[in-house]
Amino acid sequence: MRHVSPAPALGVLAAAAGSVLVAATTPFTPAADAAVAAAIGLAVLVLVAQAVGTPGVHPWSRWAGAGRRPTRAAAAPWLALFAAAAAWELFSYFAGRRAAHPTLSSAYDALAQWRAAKAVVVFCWLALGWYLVRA
Amino acid sequence: MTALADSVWILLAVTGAVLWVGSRAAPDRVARPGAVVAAVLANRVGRALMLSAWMFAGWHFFAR
Repeated sequence: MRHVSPAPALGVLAAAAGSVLVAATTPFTPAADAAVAAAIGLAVLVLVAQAVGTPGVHPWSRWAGAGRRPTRAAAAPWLALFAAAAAWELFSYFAGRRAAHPTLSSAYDALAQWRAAKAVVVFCWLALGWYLVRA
Repeated sequence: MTALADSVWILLAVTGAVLWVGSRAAPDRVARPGAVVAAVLANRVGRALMLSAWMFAGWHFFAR
């Protein structure tokens, strides 16, 4: 019988619990600052542990495999989309009245009125963070 | 103006979805998003920028 590690499920459960916790806080309060700082601090701790734990064979080196690297032409559509989104976000930010020029932040504010929706966004943020720092 | 602004965001989202579908069908022509992120992470500066952006996004959206 194949052994299945409980670590991934526990990680998902912990992230879900953390998401609900962060979603229950109100921005501009010490509780919100502490909850978000804890998640960022955990990511920094993992990064530091990776850096000092495996000198010479850093986990990030696995990303450097040439076989995984896309060509510039294949990556260009994504880079163009990112540039267009960033340009539109900047234009909207400086254009004036927020109701007429919604930014990602204002769209998020509208969504975050619902705690469940905010918890989903927090979970996605945590999942992205895990993807970025994972060993 | 709101309708136009909303339309631009929707257009960007639809474009992203089309690119994602295209990357599944022909990864040689349109790179998989994961491969693009991996290429950025393979670079020390790109990795630092991406992690900083992740931290900033969390702080900005949830704590501010």
